[in-house]
Amino acid sequence: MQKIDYPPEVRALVSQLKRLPGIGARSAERMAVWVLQDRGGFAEDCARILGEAAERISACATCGFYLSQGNACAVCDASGREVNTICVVEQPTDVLPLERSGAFSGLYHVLGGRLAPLDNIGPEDLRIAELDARITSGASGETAVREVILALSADVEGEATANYLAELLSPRGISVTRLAQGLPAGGGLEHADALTLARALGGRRAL
Amino acid sequence: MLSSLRLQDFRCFASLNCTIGPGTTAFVGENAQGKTSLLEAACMLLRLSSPRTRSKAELVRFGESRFGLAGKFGDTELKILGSPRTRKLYHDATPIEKATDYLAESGLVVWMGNSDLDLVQGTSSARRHYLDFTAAQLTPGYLANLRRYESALRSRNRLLRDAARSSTTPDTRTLDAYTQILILHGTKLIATRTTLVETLAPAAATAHHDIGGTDALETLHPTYQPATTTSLEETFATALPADLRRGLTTTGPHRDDLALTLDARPAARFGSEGQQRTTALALKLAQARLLHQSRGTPPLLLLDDIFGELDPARRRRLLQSLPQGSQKLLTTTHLDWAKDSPATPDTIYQVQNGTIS
Repeated sequence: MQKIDYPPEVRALVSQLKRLPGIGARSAERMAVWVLQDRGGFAEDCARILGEAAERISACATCGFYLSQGNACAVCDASGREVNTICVVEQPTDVLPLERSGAFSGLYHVLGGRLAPLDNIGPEDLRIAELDARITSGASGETAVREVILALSADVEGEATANYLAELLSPRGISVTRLAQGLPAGGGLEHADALTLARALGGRRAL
Repeated sequence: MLSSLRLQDFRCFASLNCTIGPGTTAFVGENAQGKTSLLEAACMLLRLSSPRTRSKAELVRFGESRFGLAGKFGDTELKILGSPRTRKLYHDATPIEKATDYLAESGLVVWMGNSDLDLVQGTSSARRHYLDFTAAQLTPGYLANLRRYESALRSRNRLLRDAARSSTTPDTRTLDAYTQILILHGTKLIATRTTLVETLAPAAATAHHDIGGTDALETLHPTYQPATTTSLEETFATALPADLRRGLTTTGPHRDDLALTLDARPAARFGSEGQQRTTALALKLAQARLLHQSRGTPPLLLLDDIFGELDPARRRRLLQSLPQGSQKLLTTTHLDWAKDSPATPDTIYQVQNGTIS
């Protein structure tokens, strides 16, 4: 008996959707069904928007944030930023939460990931050389940058990346800092786990 | 106290539900019927760790995709849903994100089994695991330190291995970034292990005399043997050429050991089988007493088929030495030994082919 399967177009759609992060075979199938049933023009719009985004969006050569073709970088070109502080983050999506905090007015640098030897990601795969160049830019190698803030994940890979950058940058005579770890704002002690509390205690400050 | 235990697609059990009393519960059956898996289930539920394996895939019943464990400990209903790649934890049906939060509500456990002989005869990894399992229950944050150390070690070893295989040198700064994490967490591991063995050593010596009775003329002396006695910074710097050559991190707390001597003679080489068994039991008894002391309540004792192997005198002495009022789950092939024993089981379950009655 011949095996019944979806037509090749449907199978191709499902297998493409399955490549998206966090999407398994079952979810991909559900999404494909939805797309094919939809009569509101989603498929056409989505295809066009995807194509445009892929074609026109690249990483800013300076900071690594999303850059739309023919436009200036929204991060680097913003006026009134303090140019002597750079905040280093892993992904472009880390920039906006820091912006929303309203507590930082310096420049950003997106690494595009973190060191992960187990996934074969080394320093050359990250935008570390670009960060280096940004700091040494200027005549005769002197720099306007006085502080680099490392806003990286608190896991082992993030910690290793922070160590790497600290060692790379410290001989330049600029101060390298990292975000403090501690209690979430507005949270009671009873909601904090032991490790967070231990770090909050370790990082306590005099009043 | 653990008052119930439920298993779903765990090892050879499709589904099982049993109530557990405060005293001694015995699981009786032939070999290979699943008795040990029941103790393993209790250990997993309370400590999220199995004495038999580190792979969750082995815990899932053949042909199934996930297992479930649940049970009431004190007033809290503990639950684990596990698959080869994932693990979900619950307290009273509320999801718990972090293992540390889960373990904080859970009880302390001591496992005694025939494989404990590995503590004396086996490689250093058995003794490190013993120290780690004890420290993790006594010292908050120890397990988190250990996991971060291990994670950084895997990454560092990968860098060294890849470089050694391609006959290149790894990027010094990347290697260093991981070395610093090893130093940070490794130093804490060494400090905790040092203080642990300081309190453990006299407890083990006492336990050894308690179990051995007049037969144990020698004194058991466990000594912490860190892989290195210089600072970790210096250690890793000195070992770098060897690390590069061999393509792995050749020294550090992951190579620590616990030396066991009986009157200054290594127990592994000079002890008889009986002396070695007493030594292994003494270490576990000392662990139980230390946990009892620190928490104020005795730990749950999981006794896997140990009584059949002991002569009546040592069996009686061991049972009398266990922390007073401790809850015990034990497995055995027969209960002949229990007739004149101070630990006559309060509840007896027969285990046969993945079912109990």
